Amino acid sequence: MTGGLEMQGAVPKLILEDIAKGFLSASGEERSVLAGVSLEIQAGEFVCLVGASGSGKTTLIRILDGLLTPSSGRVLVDGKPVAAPGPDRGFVFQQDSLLPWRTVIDNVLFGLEVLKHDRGTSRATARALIELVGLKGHEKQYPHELSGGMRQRVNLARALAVDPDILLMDEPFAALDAQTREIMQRELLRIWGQRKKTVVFITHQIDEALYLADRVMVLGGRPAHVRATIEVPFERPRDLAIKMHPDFVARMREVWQLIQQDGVEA
Amino acid sequence: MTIPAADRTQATVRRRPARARISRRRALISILLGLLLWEFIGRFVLTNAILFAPFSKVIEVGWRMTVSGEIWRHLAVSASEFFLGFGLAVLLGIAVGVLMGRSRLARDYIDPWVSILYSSPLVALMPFYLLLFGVGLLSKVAIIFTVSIFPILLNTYTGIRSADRNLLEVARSFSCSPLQTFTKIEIPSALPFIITGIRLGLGRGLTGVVVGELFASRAGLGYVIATAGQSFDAATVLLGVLLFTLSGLLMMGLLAWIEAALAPWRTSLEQS
Repeated sequence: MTGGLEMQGAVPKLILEDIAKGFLSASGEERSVLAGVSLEIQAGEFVCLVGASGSGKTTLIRILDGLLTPSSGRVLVDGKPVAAPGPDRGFVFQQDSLLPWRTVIDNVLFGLEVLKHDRGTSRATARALIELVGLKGHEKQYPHELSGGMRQRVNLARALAVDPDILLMDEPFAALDAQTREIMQRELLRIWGQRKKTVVFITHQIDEALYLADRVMVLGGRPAHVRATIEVPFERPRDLAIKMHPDFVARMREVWQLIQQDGVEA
Repeated sequence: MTIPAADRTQATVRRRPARARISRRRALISILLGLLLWEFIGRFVLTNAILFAPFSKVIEVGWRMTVSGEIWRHLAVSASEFFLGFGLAVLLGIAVGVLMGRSRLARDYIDPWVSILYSSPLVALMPFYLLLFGVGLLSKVAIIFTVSIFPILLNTYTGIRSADRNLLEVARSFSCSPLQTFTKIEIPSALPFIITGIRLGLGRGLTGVVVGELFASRAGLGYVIATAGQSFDAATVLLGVLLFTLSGLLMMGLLAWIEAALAPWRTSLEQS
């Protein structure tokens, strides 16, 4: 699973060391959501984390970004521990996270503005990214004038603008209709092919995970841990049609059964 | 790469200019009919000049006072009272509202006072202000400030507090400093609320001018109304009321224009 480590002699891009997270419930008792989550992700790898709803996926990716601090354990980027959000990680939110008072281009510029980058070069960067995500010509539109899929394209471009090494995506296509979702999956792979980022992608859609990822990790149990890691062997570039392939369907069943165990355990 | 048709739905904003034009025409007809009714009643129903005056008579009086320059003097007095009092209310209202929105300590100490004062008819303070500040400018500025600050303050506070949690999380994820979060997220979120507060405060502020000047004054539109009333001159009283109304409309229009300039995304939201 971590063969790349010895092969390249390099430190994994992202390491999670024995992460645990608990929340205080309303009655004052600590409820443990994650326990003993350890994983390593290589540079340029596309990893999907799947799990039933309530399995702690969102909690885990928020810890990766630094929006939440783990109760115990460490997150290491390039071997260095991180505790807060930083421009080395870009977060693509579920939905409705665009600033409604900013146009498409100004939304994409947000992160660059915060970092106080030069305005001229920032605009050039933003324009290039808007073109990359397929929104050329929509620069001056406001989010409410865009469809759900177009908004998530802007969301992606905004995260890419600060040129992070790691892209964290929290169920970015969950709110889209099935057809748009598949278009966006294909688009994401096209964009990822051009900007080689390390991607951690959260989803509860098994076909989405298997279509996108190099490796799929199944979160499960209460508290949740990485129950299994599945290597996805399909060659890239991948066509959406592989979702119909018997090998793909067989793997979907395998993952589905791993997720289903939760119903038994809980 | 272009976007497939399925992803384009609802991307185009549909407008109905024809319907808006019809509504505008009807509004104009309604106003003209109202003025005609006013004229009719003044000429044929309430013909006693002490009780009422037709619209044409009011315009005539207005024209005379404009030519003599008298009206400008009074307008200037009322306007300076209003802009001082209301301007201070806007500045302080926004400042205190922001403070309350951001500091729990400030909120806990200030909130009870705001609740008490917002619900009380503060124009009743006018006699007190007269004693304190005299008959001149200062007492009017004080009453206008007092009656108009609370809606501005409360709306600013609500606006700052109602900043979308998702957007605040975006700010954190992009490592915004507290100041950046304030200027890039909280202020734009609060802007529509602040403008609503200013709009509410504007109406109250105009009432403040009238009440202040009716009580005791040596000049101003309220003074014109008060002296005309005492000399049974209905036409001049109505002229004063008309001028107050027109100033109110003018400032509301100005505010709508400012809002469109500051928050263009809201105007295009309303059209869609």
